[in-house]
Amino acid sequence: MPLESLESKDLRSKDLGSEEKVSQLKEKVCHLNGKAVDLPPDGKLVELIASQGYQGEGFAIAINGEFVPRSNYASTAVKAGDCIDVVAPVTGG
Amino acid sequence: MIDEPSHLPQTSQSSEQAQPSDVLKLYGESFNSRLLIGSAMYPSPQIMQQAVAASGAEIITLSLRRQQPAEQKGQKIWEQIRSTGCRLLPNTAGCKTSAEAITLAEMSRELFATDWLKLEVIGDDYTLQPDAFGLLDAADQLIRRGFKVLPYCTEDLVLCQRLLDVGCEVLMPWGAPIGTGQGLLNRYHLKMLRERLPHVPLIVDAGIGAPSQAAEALEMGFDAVLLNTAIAKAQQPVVMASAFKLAIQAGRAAYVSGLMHPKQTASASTPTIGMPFWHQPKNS
Repeated sequence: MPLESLESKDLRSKDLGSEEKVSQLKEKVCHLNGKAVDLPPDGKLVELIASQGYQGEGFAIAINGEFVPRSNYASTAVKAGDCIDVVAPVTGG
Repeated sequence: MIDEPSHLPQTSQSSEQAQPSDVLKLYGESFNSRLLIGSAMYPSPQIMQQAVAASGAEIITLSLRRQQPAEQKGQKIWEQIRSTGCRLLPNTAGCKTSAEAITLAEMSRELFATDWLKLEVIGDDYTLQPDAFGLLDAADQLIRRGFKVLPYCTEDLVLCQRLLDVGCEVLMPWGAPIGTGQGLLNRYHLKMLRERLPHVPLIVDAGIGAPSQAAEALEMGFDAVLLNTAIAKAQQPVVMASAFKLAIQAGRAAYVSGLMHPKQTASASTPTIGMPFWHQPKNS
């Protein structure tokens, strides 16, 4: 089941049915670029980004506002509720 | 007592044909162009590349934003910008705190493999005025981490002095709010800044809307101009880029040549000695 947002009223009332279930699901998700996604089985960042389709080296990552060097992706754990930003080049002034 | 600017080119008096060596030096690197250009808002990537070439710019700004994996735009944009051959100057546009700017700076350094940074910490959404306090704090921390910081700041002399104190070697005061095209709104303070900081490379960043405004900044002694909207949003961006290049060259040449001081009263250019009809009786 896609989890666009656990804060969504519709999701709480229709799809899950109880606050308890919402709470349980919250323990299994993090937020990637503002979207709720399931935590990877082993809880590592490298697996999370691979599962979301990020490939190559054309992006950089921060977790909860803290920069994560690429060399640390394999060793960095992702926890429930973490906010992960994945950014790529854009034009700018 | 105001020091003589050290950034004026050295000229040779021995030969009338001698051309001054007039390069822009930023963090130890030399540039022939005094126009820094933004990469945003062009009608197409091709026009962006052509405009950059026409401008003669050697430094180009770019940024980072969230991207979904399916988009794959980032790599293409990066390649298009890199193909201009310009030095990359990543910005921290949109950051509102020192912490945000520092994190984005670290992400930029990893991705773009450069420690050069146009540091922006915005304090007001309406004017996009820099947050002086956040800017100073971020500059201090980033310089300690080895960044070469080019801070987007106001023309406030004390802020600029503090930015120099923490290690900035270049300052980029605004001419007017970003994207307004209003030119140099606070000439008094900009002139004062130039006079009080004669040895610091000063780049007018933001608010330049016309080549004449860029020329004015160079005539005032500013070392360079950074702009984006005025070129990118022109009806013919490539032609406008060329116009800015010429204006900036003209403004710099005028400054180097030494502008005359304005006078209050008229002063004839043509010699008055030998003026015919002088003291000649008039036939009535």
